[in-house]
Amino acid sequence: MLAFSGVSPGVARLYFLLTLPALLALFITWIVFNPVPGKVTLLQLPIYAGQLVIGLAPWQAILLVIVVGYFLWTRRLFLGIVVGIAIAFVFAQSVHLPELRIAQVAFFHPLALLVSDQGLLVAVTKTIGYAGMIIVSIALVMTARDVELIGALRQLHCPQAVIFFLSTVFRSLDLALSDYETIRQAQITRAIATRPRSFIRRLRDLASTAVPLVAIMIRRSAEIGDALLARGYTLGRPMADFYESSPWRLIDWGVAVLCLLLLYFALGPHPAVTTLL
Amino acid sequence: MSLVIDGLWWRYPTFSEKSSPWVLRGIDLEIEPGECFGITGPSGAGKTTLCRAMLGAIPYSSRLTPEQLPQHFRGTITAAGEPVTARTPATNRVGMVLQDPENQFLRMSLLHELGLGLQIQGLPTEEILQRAYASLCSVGLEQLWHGAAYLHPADLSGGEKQRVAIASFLAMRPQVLLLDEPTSDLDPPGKREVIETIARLRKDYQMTVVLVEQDPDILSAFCDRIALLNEGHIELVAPPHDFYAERALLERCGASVGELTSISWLTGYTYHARPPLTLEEGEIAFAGFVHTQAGQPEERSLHDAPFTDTGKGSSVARPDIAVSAGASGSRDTVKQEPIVTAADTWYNYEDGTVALQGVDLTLHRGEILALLGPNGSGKSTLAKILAGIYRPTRGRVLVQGQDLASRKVRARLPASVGYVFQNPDHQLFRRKVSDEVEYGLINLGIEPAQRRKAVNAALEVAGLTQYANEDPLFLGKGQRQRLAVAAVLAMGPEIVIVDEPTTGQDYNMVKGIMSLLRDLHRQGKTILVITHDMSLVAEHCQRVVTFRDGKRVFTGTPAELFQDEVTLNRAGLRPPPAAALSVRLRAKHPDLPFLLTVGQWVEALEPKKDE
Repeated sequence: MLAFSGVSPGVARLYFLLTLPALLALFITWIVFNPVPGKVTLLQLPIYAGQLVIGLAPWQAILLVIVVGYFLWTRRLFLGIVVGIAIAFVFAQSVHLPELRIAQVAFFHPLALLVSDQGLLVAVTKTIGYAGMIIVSIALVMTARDVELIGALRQLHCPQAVIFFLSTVFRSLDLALSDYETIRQAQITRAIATRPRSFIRRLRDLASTAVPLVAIMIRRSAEIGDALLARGYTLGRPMADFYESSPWRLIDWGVAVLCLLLLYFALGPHPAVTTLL
Repeated sequence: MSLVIDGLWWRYPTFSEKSSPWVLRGIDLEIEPGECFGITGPSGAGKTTLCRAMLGAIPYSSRLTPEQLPQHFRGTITAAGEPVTARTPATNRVGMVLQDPENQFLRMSLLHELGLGLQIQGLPTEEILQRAYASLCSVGLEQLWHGAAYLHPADLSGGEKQRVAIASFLAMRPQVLLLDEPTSDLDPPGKREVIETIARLRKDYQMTVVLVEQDPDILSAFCDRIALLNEGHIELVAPPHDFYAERALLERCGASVGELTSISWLTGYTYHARPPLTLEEGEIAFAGFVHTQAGQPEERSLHDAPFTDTGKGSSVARPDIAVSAGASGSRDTVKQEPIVTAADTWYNYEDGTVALQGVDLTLHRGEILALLGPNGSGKSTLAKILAGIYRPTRGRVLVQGQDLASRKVRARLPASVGYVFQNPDHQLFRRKVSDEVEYGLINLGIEPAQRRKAVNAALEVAGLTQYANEDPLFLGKGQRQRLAVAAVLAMGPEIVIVDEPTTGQDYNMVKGIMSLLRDLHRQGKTILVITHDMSLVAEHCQRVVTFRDGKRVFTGTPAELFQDEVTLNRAGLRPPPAAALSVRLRAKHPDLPFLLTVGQWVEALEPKKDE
């Protein structure tokens, strides 16, 4: 759809980068946190016994040594913590050394990773459902012009102030994206890419775009306010419809009925379609 | 009277106990129906505030209580016979076009933008369509009507957006139209489009127009009278020919004057005892130069009495003549060593736009080169390639011998190529001036002691030492621009690229920035300037490269460019008045020398001392 829609490759890449990891994360989360017994158990692994153990263990010492050593060597923390946790985890699982237990506290309930055929089916169904929602949203955003979206709100009898506010937001977003692009270019000319940057440093560089972006948007909003005033706009003043809304057609009614039907299947007397299988 | 302002005082409300200074002080103005009234003055004089007051935005949008109002607002304003009140903007008696074409394009399609004001008025669809079409035709954009419902603001140029703004107000049929620096942010073709539209408005609608402008050529061409606003006061109101005769006052207030006016002030040659404002008048005023150069005794007509300064004690001073190439050849010995070479450079944006098509460019060490051309011609794209922001799609670009195809080379480029963006607000990342200058140095990994030295040196060069602890966001626009230059300079680049340094700036700011760039040039820096200001090019640049539609169409000296009418037309450029007058005179007297700048004219027109 994206390839044939005429969308620019950069925008298409962005959509993939945002949606695919989100869907994958959703799938994994559903599997892990919603164990569903089925006919075939593919994986069963206790993860958490339902108790917190407070004490001293060799893996803690290993973690501390790795983190502190990495910091002293490179003056950085993040990678050291990640590597330290990974090594400490593997060590704790593979080498069983004596521990000193000080206390044991019951906390939450035991967790086990259970992957069954039924669980997989439910996770896939949920993920497909959300993916459908995302794809429909993307399709709507990419095929509907801003004026059409505003027109839809008008036909739904949204308050005039809300409609106009959203219309101004759409226009301002356009300007904000353009300003952001220039600000990132300005950062490049101030040598942010000259030396290798840690993840934290990259986040800080991203955060520092907030100062010029907010400053520019404040200046713009003052001028936009003047421009609105010059057109005679005041809050609460109704505006005539002008090529924004359109009369309902047969296809509009058809889609509305289909949506209501799907809503019925989702919330009506058959809440879980998968139980029909 | 179309607009009457009587005893207007205004100051902006503050959130602290301390009152803000008065922005408008005792303004009295009477503007006649159908008049084109110009307002000029330095930045911060109160021009935009005055426009907002005429619109009715001030004081009514400030939410002052009846008790607070007299402490902030005094006087009366009457527009089209009725007092300006909070309801005035809604009546559409007064319309206002702002400086930035982007901020006033409020909808996402041309059709809806044209109809916005009429939608707010609650007019029926048919009438909105009718008026929108008529107004679009009035501004010469009828060709856009068929696709108007689908044309996005990004599809329109700056000049087109400004004309659409004017059209959207025309559709509302105001009696007074305020234009607040409508051409400042536009390229030369855009400026011309808007100017032609304003001329059409006056001719077809007899509308009262209040035009706020810095450009003296526009003011003198269109305005019946011009007001000089300085520090909230109206210092002078006069027709253009009398206005530009007030040398002492205009110099004291820092108002921009045309090149012909400057030449007249400095040499004493006049047209009917006043400075010439047009090329025709200049031909007559400086006729003495022609006779002198042609070997004939100088015959000064009765009209060419020496200019008598009506100001207080100002002397006729030589201008600060910048070293430039001019027609007489380069006065500066530019080292011919190339510091940048671009060969067959192409660049395609992600949406498929081909911004550069096989451009070749050489930048020599120590020169000041200007990149000229209309918006969208590729000048900024090439400059950003040279700064390492973009990677060329095709071709070879070497900066100090290093190929920019390498990501590592591009990443290290900020230490040798500095880029100053047009809007200083895009490049201010810190909340303290000294921190801002230090930002790039930290990114380069410079040691703290060295950083402090570099910061102090950069602030001193930019004249901002006393503002080191200030918040950049609270500095004036000229100061922010200087800060942006300082922040780039601190990184020690050998090449400095400056993107439209004088756009939207007043005379003093332009002088300040150009003085700074000249100082940098004297220190040996190589400067690349992207500009639409032809006077700047004539005064300061040794060479120019002109672009059109992504291709290089000219490279040479400013003198060569301004005498090449074909290239000028192709690139949509016009020579500055001094050069244009020289071209005009040389068309009739080919043996006259070509005079590029005000300084060269002054030298040529002064009596020769050895005769």
